[in-house]
Amino acid sequence: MKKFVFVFGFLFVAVNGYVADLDVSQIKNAQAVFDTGNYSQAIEIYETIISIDRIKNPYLYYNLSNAYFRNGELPKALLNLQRAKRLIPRNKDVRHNESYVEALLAQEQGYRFPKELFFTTYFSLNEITVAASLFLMLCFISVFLFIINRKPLFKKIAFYLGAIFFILCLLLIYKKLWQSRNNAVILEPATLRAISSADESNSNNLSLPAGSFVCFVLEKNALVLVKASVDGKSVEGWVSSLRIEKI
Amino acid sequence: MKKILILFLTIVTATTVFAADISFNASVNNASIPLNGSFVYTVTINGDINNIPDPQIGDLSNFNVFSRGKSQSISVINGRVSANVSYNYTLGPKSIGRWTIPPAKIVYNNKTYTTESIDIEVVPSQSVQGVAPQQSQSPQQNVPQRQSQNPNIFVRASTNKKTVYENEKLVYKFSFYTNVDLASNPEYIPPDFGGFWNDGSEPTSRYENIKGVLYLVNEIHTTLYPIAVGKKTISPAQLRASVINLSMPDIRNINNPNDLMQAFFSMSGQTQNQERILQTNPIQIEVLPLPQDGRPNDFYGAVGKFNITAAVDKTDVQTNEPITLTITVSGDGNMKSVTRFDVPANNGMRKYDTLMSDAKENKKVFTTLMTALTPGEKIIPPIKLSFFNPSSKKYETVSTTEIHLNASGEAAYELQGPQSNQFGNSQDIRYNQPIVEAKNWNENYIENPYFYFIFLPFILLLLGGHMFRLFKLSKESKGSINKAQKLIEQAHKDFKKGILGGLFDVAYKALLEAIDSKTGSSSTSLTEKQILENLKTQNLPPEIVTKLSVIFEHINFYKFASVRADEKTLKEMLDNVQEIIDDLS
Repeated sequence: MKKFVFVFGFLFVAVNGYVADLDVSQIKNAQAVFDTGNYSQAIEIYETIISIDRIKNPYLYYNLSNAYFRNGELPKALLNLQRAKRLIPRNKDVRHNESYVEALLAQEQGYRFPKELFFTTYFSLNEITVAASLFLMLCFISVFLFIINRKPLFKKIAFYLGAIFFILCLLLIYKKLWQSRNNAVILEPATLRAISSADESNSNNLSLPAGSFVCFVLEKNALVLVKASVDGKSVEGWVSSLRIEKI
Repeated sequence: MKKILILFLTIVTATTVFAADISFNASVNNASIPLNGSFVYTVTINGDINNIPDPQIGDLSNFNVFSRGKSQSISVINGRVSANVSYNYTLGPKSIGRWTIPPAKIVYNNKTYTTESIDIEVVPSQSVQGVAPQQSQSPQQNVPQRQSQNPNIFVRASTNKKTVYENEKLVYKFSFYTNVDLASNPEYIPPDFGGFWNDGSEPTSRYENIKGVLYLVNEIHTTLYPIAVGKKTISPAQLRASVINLSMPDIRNINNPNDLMQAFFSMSGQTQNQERILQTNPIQIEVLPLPQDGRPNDFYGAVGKFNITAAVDKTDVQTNEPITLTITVSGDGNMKSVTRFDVPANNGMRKYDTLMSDAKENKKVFTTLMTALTPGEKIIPPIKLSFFNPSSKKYETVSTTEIHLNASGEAAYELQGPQSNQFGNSQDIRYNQPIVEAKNWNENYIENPYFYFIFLPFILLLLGGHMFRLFKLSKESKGSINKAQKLIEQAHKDFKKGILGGLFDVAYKALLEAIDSKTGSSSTSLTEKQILENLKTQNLPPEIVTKLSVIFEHINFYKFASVRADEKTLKEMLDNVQEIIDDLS
C-alpha cells in the first residue's frame, strides 16, 4: 500500500511538473513570437495555453491583451484586461492599459464605460471574500472565548467583528452582482434585437458599440440573450454569438 | 434563335424596393433562353444593417436548380455597418413556354420587402438536326451536318481525377448526348455525393461528332471537395428524358410539298412521346490524407496552387482614416479552403475584421479595414499564404510584398481635457509582464463549494465550546444541588434535635446554592430582587419564582424581626425550602 501511494504521488508530481514546464516553455515561445511582431501567432499560443491547458493566470491575460492590442483588436484586448483585472485589480500596468484601451474605444465610438465603486475596483472578489472570511473566523473565536469565559469584552469584540463581516458581505454581494451584470464584452459593433425595454415602442434594434459590457444571460441557436444598458435604458435582447464573448 | 443564344443580354427586369435603410431587388441575366440553356437569377439585398435576414425565394419548381451561391460584402466604419448580399441561382428550364419566377421577399424590422416577379421565355432548343452549333458554345467551328439517321440518346459520367487529396478540387462531369429532339427538358437526378463537399454545378452545351454522327452534348460540371479520407464511390446519376418518337422522319430533306403533307399526316399518328430513363456508371475515387511532413505552422487547410497579392487604396493617409487592404488570392484549386491568413498590424495601426468574398473565376478577395492610430511611416509586413500543392505534393508558401504607408495628423488616442494626464507622457500600452510560472489562479472562491470547508473547524470549535459550557454548568449545578441538599438535611436534623437557632440562615444558604445550580453563577453578592430577575430569565415556571419570593420574605421577616418563629412555622419553612430545592434540581 505504501509503495502504491509513493508511486502514485511520484507520478502525480512528475506529470504536473511536466505540464507546468510545457506551459512555461510555451509562454516563453509566445513572448519570443510577440517580440518578432507576429502578434497573430502570439495570440494563438496564449489562447491555446488558456483554453486548452486551462491556465487561468492574470499575467497571461495581460500579455494576451497586449498581443490583441498590437494586432489592432481593441475589444478583445479590453476583454482580456478585464479578465486580468478581476484577478489583480491593483496592478498598475493592467489599470493603465485598461484606461488606455477604454479611452481609444470611447473616442472612436463615443461610448462611456460604466464605472465601479472605488472599493470594488480596488479589491478583487477573492480578496473581499478572504477578508470577510477572516473576520468571520475571528468573530467565531471571540464567540468561543465568550462561551468559555463569559467575559463581556469577548461579546463586544464578537459584535464588532460580526458587523465588519456583515459590511464586507454587502460589498461582496455588490461586487458579485456588478460582475454578473457586466460579464461579457461586445467584440464588434452589434445590433441588439430587443425583446423588452422600458420603452416598448422603441425596442426593435439598438446598437451596442464594440467594447461595451453586457450581461450574458443564455445562448441559443448562435444567438445570445443579453441584458444591456443602452442610452440609460435597461434592455434585454438577442445578439449574434459571434459578436460577444464572456469575460 | 441562334442570335438570341449568341447575344448575351443582361436584362434587369425587377424593380427595386427602396426603404430608408434597405434595398431589395431581383434580376436575371437572360430573360429569353432555349430549352437546353440556363440563366442566373440574382436576389440582392443592400442596406445599412449587419444582420441581414435570408430572403424567401419564390417557387422555382418550373426550373432545374443547378447551383446556388451567396456573395457578400460588409463594411464597418465607426460602428456603422453597411452590407451587400447577393444570392445567385443558376436555373435551367424544364419545358418550353413562358414561365414566371414569383417575387422573393424578406422581413426586416417588421416590414416585408418584395421584389417583382420575373417572366422567363423558354424557346425550343436549337435542333441538333441540320443546324450548325453556336460558336460560343462549341469548340468546333465547323460542325458537319448530321450524317446518320440513327436516332440515339445516352449519358456518361466522369471525373477529372481518380485519386485526390482531401480538400483538393475534383470536377464531376455528367454528359447527356442526344441527336434527337426532346419533348421537354430532361430531369437530371444527381448522384449521391456523400463524403464530398458539393460546391454547385454549372451547365454547358456543346456539339460533338462521334463516328460521323453529330450529337448535342449537355453537360453538368459539379465541383466537389473531398472531406473524408479513403475510398469513396459516387453513385450513378440518372436522367429522365421525354423524347419525341425516335422514328420521326426528317422533314427537312423533303422538298416536295405533297411529300411534306404526307409526312405530316403520317407523323400525327405517332407523336406520342417516349419516356426514357438513362443511368451512368458509379465512379470510384480514392481520397488521400494531406501529408504531415513539412506542414507549415500557418497552414490553415488551403489545397491547390495559389498566388497572393495585396494592395491598399491609399498610401498617404490621415490618422483614424480607414484604409482598405485588399488581398487577392488567385490560382487553381479549392478556393473554399482558402479561409484565413495572418494579417499583422504594426504598432500604431488598428486592424478590423477581415471579410472575404465568394470565389469567382479562380479568384478570392479578402478585404481588411485598417486605420493608423499614430502619425508616421507605417509598414504592413508581408502576408503569407501556405497551401498544399497536389501537383508537386508539397506544402508551399507565397507572400505579398511589404506595403509602406505614410500617416499624418494627430494621434488618434490623444485625449482631450482633464483625462489627458492619466497616461502621463506615455502614448502606448505598457509592455508584457514576465511569467516565470504557469500558476493557475482561482477567480471565485465563493463559487467553489470546497472553500466553505475552511469554516468547518470554527463551527466545530463553537459547538465544542458550547458543549464544554453545558458540561461545566451541569457539573457545577450538580455540586450546588448536592450542597443545598446537605444543608437542608442538616437543618432537618437540627430541627429534630431541637437546635432551632440559625435554622433560617442554613435554609437561606441552601436556597442560594440551589439557585446557583440553576443560574450557573454565584448569587451571594446579588439582592433578592436581582436573584428573582435572573431566575425569570432561566425560563422557570412563574409559580416557583413566586414561591421563592414568598419564602425569601418569610425568612427575612423571621431573621430580622424580633418575633420568634414557633416549631410549626419552622417545620413549614423547611418543607417549603426542601420543595423548592427539589423543583430546582
